Amino acid sequence: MDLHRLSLSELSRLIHAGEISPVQLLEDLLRRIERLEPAIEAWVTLDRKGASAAAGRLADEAEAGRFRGPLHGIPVGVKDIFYTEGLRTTMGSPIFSGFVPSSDADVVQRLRKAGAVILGKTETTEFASSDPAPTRNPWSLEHTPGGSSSGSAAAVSSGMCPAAFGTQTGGSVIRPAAFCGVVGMKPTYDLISRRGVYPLSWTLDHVGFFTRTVEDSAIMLGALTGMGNPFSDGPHGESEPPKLGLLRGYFQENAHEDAWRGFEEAVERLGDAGVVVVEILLPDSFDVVHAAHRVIMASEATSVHEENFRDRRMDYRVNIRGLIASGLLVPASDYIRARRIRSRFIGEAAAMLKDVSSLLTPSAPTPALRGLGSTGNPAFNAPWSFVGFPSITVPSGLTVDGLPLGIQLVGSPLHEDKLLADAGWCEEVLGFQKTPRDPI
Amino acid sequence: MKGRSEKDEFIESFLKQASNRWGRPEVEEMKTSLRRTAEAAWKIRGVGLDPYEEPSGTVSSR
Repeated sequence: MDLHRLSLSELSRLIHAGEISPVQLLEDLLRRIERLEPAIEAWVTLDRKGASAAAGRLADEAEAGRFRGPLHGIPVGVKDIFYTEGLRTTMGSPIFSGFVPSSDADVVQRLRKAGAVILGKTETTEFASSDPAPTRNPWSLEHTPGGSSSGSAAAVSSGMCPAAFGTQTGGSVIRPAAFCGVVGMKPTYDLISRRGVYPLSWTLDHVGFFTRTVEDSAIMLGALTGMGNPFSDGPHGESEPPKLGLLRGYFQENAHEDAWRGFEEAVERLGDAGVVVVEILLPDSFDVVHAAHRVIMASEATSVHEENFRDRRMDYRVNIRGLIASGLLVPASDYIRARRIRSRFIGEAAAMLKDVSSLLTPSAPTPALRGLGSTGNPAFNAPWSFVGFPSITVPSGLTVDGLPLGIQLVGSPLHEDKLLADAGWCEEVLGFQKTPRDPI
Repeated sequence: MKGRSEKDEFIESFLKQASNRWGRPEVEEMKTSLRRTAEAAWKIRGVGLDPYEEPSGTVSSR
């Protein structure tokens, strides 16, 4: 049985049925990581010892008929900006190359309690900004996996683990998930605690995760928040097809030809399957959303890094250094203005969702870019990080070059159940079942 | 809406401030990031806001 290709929910069922043990699953995945890691470079630190000890304990509990929930014995990767007790956490920066936290981030603590096995720390761009990690895209090693949660996306895509955690300040979950052909979800702002996650920009940062299926995302969210699984009654979780709001305008104008063509094909298939797709116009304030997002991110990142930047400026790579330097030159009045613009757009974005359950766009302006010098453009995701609305990407197909594309759905705040149900519909209609060929 | 030349002057002044602080060679290296933020700051200054439009965080679930 190819355990590495199974979804979290399938693996969970096997563990609960006693058909596989957490130890067997972990060993299978560690062998796979050992084989593929030289080509993909998804991991900063693998915690073989800690993971083996946890899997052993969970196997004993399973044998005794005690299960902690659907994550019992499931190995997960965690982006290297989440604090992990006793396990090096580098933030992708030489400044933290030897930093070992004395406590877990809230998320990590909850994952351990829910029975997940922390496999290790996945590669991140420096401080979750835009200076690339060394990670390669499992679909084509010459392409970026996206960022900033590069290692988590690549690890799930290549079958190294069924789920992994990341963060999104602009587009750092949705974009890499789309580039790597997996599901990525960013719930409502602060629905998942950010405590113990190194900040880039406090009011924009979100915790999110990567899985192989929408149902797996629902399981992960449920394990972390107590939310019920909308798929417990069947694959759609809803009897009626959803009504989705299609966004053109800015998105069509800025999408690469391949990305837009793939998106239109996906929309057509959804329509043919009974999903109601209506066009929604973008409000005027959308025009300044990216600028306001940039001003907030630069100002807050500067405040986060002020002390280290003063003492160790040249230890920062050029993109994050420029971001912090620019924030030092932005007056407080501009920062406040950007936050006032956000107030306006929150209201207008909520109005866009008045008559539809989710908004629909391509997940990124392009497929994964060739080369590892850039992690791609977060412009299609940043507006939803800006306002804190939940979003999810579902794989929708491949370009003629064999690179994955995704559709992004955006929901109303704290209505993750609807968003997941809509995404489940899209997943079933689009039926993307492909996985990358092993590069080695 | 302010004209293009005013925008250019604003960006130039932003980069000059940066050069005074960190020196021209380093600013050349960081220019893309610096310029992006300068352009963003310029753009949001062109938005008309009423006094009652207060600054906000994102939608918070807490």
